[in-house]
Amino acid sequence: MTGISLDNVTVEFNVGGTLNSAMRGFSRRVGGRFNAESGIVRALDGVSFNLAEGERVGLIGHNGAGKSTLLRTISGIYAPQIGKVSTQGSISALFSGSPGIEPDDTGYQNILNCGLFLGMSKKEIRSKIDEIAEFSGLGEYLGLPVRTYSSGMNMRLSFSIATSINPQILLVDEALGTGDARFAEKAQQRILQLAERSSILVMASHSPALLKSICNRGILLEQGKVLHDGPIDEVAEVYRESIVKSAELDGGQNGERLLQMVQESAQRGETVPLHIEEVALQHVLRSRPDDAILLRRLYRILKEQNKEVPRDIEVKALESILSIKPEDKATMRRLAELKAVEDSAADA
Amino acid sequence: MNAVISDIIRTTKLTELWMHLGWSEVERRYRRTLLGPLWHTLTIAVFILSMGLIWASVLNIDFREFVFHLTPSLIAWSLISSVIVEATSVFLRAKQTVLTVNLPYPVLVLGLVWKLVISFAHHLSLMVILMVVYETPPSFNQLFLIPGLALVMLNSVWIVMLVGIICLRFRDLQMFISVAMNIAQFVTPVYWPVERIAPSLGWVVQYNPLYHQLQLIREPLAGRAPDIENWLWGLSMLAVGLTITAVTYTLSRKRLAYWF
Repeated sequence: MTGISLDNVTVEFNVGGTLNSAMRGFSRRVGGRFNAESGIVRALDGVSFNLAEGERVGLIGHNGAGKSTLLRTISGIYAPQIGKVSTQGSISALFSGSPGIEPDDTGYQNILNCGLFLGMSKKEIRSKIDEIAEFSGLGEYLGLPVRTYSSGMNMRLSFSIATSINPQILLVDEALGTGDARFAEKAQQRILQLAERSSILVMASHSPALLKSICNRGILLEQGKVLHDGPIDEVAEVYRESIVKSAELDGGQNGERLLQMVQESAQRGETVPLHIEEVALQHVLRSRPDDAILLRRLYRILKEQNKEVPRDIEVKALESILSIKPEDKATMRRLAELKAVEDSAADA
Repeated sequence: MNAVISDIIRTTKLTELWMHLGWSEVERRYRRTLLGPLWHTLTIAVFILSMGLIWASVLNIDFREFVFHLTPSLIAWSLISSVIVEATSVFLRAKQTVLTVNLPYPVLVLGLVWKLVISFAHHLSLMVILMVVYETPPSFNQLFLIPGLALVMLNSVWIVMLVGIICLRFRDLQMFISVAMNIAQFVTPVYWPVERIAPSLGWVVQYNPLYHQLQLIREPLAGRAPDIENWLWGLSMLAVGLTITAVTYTLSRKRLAYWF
């Protein structure tokens, strides 16, 4: 019987001795709950849930919400200060970075180094090495020292080794973030296959679209607390709304994140409500007012929603359309109209 | 306590892993070099030769006699001091590994001890060369090397574990220990003959645990049996050390990952 059960789990890091006041401000923005007087960051705060066989859980939340810490706590790396974690079943974790990787060893040698740490025997590794090599797609590069690899190649190697075992519980942390698009797709397929064979999958990401395509349950973390727990579609929606809200409160970073989320969803063939994209674009345009692609997209979205387009945006957007299609009569006419209105306003 | 016992059980199951850690590290350090691990041995050899020549002349003692004292001393000391010096970074170096997989910490300890045993085996070739050059027949007393080395290694396991934990928590100790070991090599009778020390200072040697560890390896190498006193010290260190380390590990096990 496989299962994971967390009861009021609290994990705290004492960083007091090493932080100066400037970094304290920084850490407050990054995540967790930071108590400046005691120097303690509360990375997980009273987290409780039970996972049963067959559940594929997407952990969702901003950077620093506690996703990685939670996965490490489930895998037994961090022991919680308060509360209890109990797991039944063999666990394998796919975190950023892999155990035992030695930069000076070749790819093949590192399959052995890393595989042993993941609990495989030498014999087992030897029987799987061809399959690992093939999946990584690294070919002849596997004979070269890993220090010569790009970060994408490193990720492919680590991913291929870590997913060659069949655990009952699989923990995945943002593993699909790096690497080229083709490998990301292959990796996603592999995770799905593994998830079918493992009885529990817990996967952390800040891409709701990715999690929706793999998971059936979602847990939203915010500052180390479980904010929402339910079907993945519902939780993804709550997360999306929270980003829209924070983008409305402060543009900058949250706007960029929102736009990134919208674009990811679009790539996966999902339709994102136009008003959400509009909010994202407007915030991002505040910091990049002359980005032609974003301007044209905003112009189109506003038109489609039959909303009024602010004149300066329309002028900029039309100008950039004309620079691509200089012969477009309708655009030229409209631009001339706008300019005329502007001139007469200036004359008056 | 449960976590510690389960760590020990898991470590015995991971024997293949820690033996690989020891081997591959020796291999890696000397990859693309001509002499491989023998470089370290060669360093000791050059040291013995040059020191032997100069000191034998300065102190007006027989060169052969001095080299027969120096060689087993340095081979033994190099093992004993590397155990302590390398223990300071045994966990720190494995940060990425420790934070990506739930690993029983003793695996890293045994990996390091195994690596040092392999290096020691390379250094033994110096003793063989010396005996061939001076046509010295092997002695039965040299068989004491087996239990002597075994006892020193068992002690090394708890030393590496304890020093590793303490240095993870208090980073300053890393620097302190390497300085302290430099001094220890002159306080401990590694180079100088122990019978030359003034009786009033005898306690400096008698109560120095490193001296007894040294004797357990050096005496068999030199063809003599270690004193009963050396064995008793070694065994008592094992009992006391293992107890202290077990308590320390039990108390700190839950905190270790947070100290990286």
